[in-house]
Order: sequence, then structure tokens, then C-alpha cells
Amino acid sequence: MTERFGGDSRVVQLCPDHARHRAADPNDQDPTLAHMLDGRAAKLASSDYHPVAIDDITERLTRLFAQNLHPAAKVSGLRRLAGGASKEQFLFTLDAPCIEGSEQLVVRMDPTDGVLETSRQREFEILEAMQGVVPVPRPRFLDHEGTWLGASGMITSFEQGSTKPPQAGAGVSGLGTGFTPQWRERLGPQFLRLMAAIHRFDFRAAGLRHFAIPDADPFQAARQRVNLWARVWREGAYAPIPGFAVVESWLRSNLPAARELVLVHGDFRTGNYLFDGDSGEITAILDWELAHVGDYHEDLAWSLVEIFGARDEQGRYLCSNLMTVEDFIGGYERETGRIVDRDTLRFYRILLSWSVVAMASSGLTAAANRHNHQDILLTWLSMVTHPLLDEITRLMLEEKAA
Amino acid sequence: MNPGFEVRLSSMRRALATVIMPAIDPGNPLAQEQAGLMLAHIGMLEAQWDKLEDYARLCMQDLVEVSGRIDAAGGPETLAAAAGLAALAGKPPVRGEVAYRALSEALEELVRAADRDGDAHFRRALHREVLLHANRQAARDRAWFAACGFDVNTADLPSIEKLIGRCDG
Repeated sequence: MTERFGGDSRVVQLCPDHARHRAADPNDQDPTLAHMLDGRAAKLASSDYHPVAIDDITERLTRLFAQNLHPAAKVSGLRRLAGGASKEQFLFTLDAPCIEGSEQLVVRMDPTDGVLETSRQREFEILEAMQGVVPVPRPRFLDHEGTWLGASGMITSFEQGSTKPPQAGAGVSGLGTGFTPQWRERLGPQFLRLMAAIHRFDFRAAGLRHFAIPDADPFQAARQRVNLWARVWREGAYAPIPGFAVVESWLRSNLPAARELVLVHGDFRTGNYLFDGDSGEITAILDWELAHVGDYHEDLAWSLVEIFGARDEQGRYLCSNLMTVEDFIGGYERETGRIVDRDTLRFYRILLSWSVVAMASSGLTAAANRHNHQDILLTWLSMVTHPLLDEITRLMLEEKAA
Repeated sequence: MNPGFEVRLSSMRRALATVIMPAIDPGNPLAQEQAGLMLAHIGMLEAQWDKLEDYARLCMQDLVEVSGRIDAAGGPETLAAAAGLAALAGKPPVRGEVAYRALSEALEELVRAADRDGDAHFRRALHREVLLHANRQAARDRAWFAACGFDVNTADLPSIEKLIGRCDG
């Protein structure tokens, strides 16, 4: 049912159906993520977070490798990495008699709080599963409990490549990466092929231990995602935004049935893959912490979140600054043989734009509580809220997707 | 003689850009990134600090108007939430930010109450009002924070001066 109202010519699809609303059980949550969010509540009373000292982490890594790899293992050249919206990341060199030469590794650790609580255990597991499927860093060591590192963390290989072309500009977290038409031609087809490869992965056969499969009913995949982001918003919101109560109500009333469940990367966009500056080949897909089993429309919708894209030389909007929306959706359909349902895509675009605001708001709360080493970045990132709120309201106010 | 915000902010920006940033270890990308963000924050503050009061008043005015024209219908939860909102909207704001937050929370609570026992027609009308308000507020905030560079649809955004009705923009 649609309703035309007031002096405004736009049409709203707003008709909460109470029966379906009740069916959208707010307690149905992905168990691993629910556990992580439970843990966040306990951290909120923590005192100020101070960045890990280089000497301290070097000592911890040395002890870790000495006891788990070889007594003569040596860690050197440790330095901080930028990037990552809220994790502590360091690059270092490992030397040990049992490895050939030396190896460059990355350690990624949780500060007290950030944009979202995610599981290093789950991220480690999916990196293991993705070996040979798509290019990803090799997972080397998991310290889920923080026994060695002092905080939950993991160690992976360091992959060569860059998130932006040589001499190109980019904003924080890879947003606003500048591509020329030539770079788009090189990267766009790979972007689609790699997303399709992730979505072809047989997650059931892989027996992923920390990934729940939301197949209790056709609506569970969407329902659990709404419940996740509603909880993140509720528990992390820095300031109320009344429009989001309407958004949540609409989402609960319009859950789409999943046509097919796939492994969803969860953060598949420009800025989260590395590529070779000469050949243009994508060398690694990064940032798997949001990976889960869900509806394939999710990764598509994520790539369409407007702040992840840019306008080209003719002023056309390009998703992930790589291709037009039509080329992206058409390309995905050709690559996978799947049908992209426009209503489902619209549902996930609204949900995921809201999810980015929920994470940005949690980040701002973490900064206000001084619970992160990148308070200034989290404060800056919170300014994504306004274009996203605009995008969400435009999507909800527009005519039902054709 | 008191140094004003303008000169204090521009002094910080110059110190950061001309002395501090060049001295940062090029091998420390996190420090470089954070210094760059400081510079950008200071630049935005320089453009905003003397307009904040006008901007906050503009935002508050719209929220008060929306809250004031809601004519609730439904069960006891909806009516109680609407009464709470009306009481807040009728009061002159004492402190802008606190009042804005309280009013936003009350409006949010009304949406949630209406989902539980609101009259169906009222609920639709309320959703419409709240969404349209969110869209207008997003437009104001996008103009206010445009310098952060996250917006890909900046072509029609007014300048901050134009947004708050100052003709020198």
C-alpha cells in the first residue's frame, strides 16, 4: 500500500503489518555476533585506552613465536600501519631457523572499543577457508583470548599491493579513492569475478565452525541482520536520530525471503582490496571481519552504498568508483547466473546504509569514551552519517523499486 | 585583550601544517594520518565556529515545528508518548544541544510507541513526517559538514553561509 501525502510529491511505502512485525523476532541473533556484543557491554566501563607501545608488542610477539614456533625466533622492524577503522595494526619481520629467510607479517589487535565488536576467531577461520578460492592474506596465528598479545588478535602474512593507484588520492579507510578510466577497466571486471567467486564458495561443505547458517526460515537471514544492526545502533548510538526508528520499523515489516544463501564478505568495496601498481592485478581481498552467511544481495547492496563510490568525469555515479550501477548489477547477473531482485536490493541498501551509520555512531561513542587509539579518525568518520541518512530517506521515500 | 577563536584556530593550523607535520617520522603512517585529520578538523572548525548558534537554531526550529504538529491517535502508549513530546516541544529550549536531544528522544519514543498501539493511519502519517524531517535534517547536516568530503552528491548543496541565511555567502 502506498500513500501520497501533504504537499510533497514523493510516495512512501510505509505500512507496518503487525503480524509480520511480530514475526520479526528481535531476539533471533547470530550467536557468535551476539556473544561479541555481550562482551562489548562489559568493556564500556573501562578506563582510557592507550595505544600499544612498540617495545611492548615486540616483546609479546617475540615470546609468542619463541614458545609456539622456535625458541630462537626473532621479531624486528615493527611499525604501526594506518588504515583499519579501529584495529591496532603493525607490520613486522619474523626470523626463525624453521622458516626460509625472513617473513613479513601483520598483527591485528582489538582496542577497547571501536566501530564494531567482531571476532578474530571468525576472521581467522574464513581466511583459512578462502585459501585458493580468492587471493587473501595467509592466516598464521590466532590469539583469540589475548593470551600472548594482551588483546584478542591475529597474525597474517603481509601482502604486496596498494589500495590506490600510484600518485592517486584517497581519503581515510579507502573512501574517495581516485581511479582513472583505465584503472576502472582493469579493476572492475576483477571486482565482479572475485565477488562471484566468494559467492560460489561452498560454505556448507567447508564446515565453518564459527559461522551460523540462517536457514531456519527464508526470512532468517534478513531478520538476523536487522537484529544485529538494530542492536549496534541501540547500544552504540551517540545521539538519537528519530528517523531510524522509522527505518527499523520499515525493515522489520519488509524482510525479504533469501533466494539463496552464500558466503557474504560483508565489506566488499574499493579500499578493501590490494592490487599491483603495474599489472593492475588484485593481489588480496582484505577485511573479512564482517563475513557471514547471508543473502547475496547484501554484498551487492554494500558495494552500492553511495559513500563508497564516486562520480566519474561525466558526473555519473560509479559504485565503488569502478562502474555504473547498471553495469555492476548486470555484470553480477552474467557472472553468477543469479537474478538480482530490485526490491531485495533496495531493502539491503537501506539496511546497510543504516548499518554504516550505526558503526560510525558506535565509533564516535568509543572516541567520546576514549576507548580507541584512533579517536580522531572515528570522530572524522562519524561525518558519513549525513550523506547516508540522505541516501536512506531518499530510498524510503522513492516509488517502490521497479 | 583576549585571543579569539579565529586566531587560535588559525595558529594551530599553521603550526601543525608548517612545523609539526614535516617533523613526523615518514615511517609512521598512523601519525601522519592522524596529523592530517587534525588539520582537516581545524579547517572545518574555522569555517563553523562563528555560525554554530545560527545553525543549531535552524535545526531546532524544524524539529520543534514537526513535533508541534503531530496529532496522535491510538492506544495509551502512543498517547502518553505524544503528550511527553508535546510538553517538550512547547517549552522554550534552555540549552540548545540538551533540548534538541531530549526532543529527538521523545520523537523516537513516539515512533516506537505508535508501532505498538498507534492507530494505523496516524502511524503512517507519523512515519511520513519523521522521514521527511530526517531528509531535511540530512540536507542541513550535509551542507554543514560538506568539507569532510564523504558526500558524492554535493552539486546542489548550499554553502554554510547560505544555509544559515547570511547574505555574505
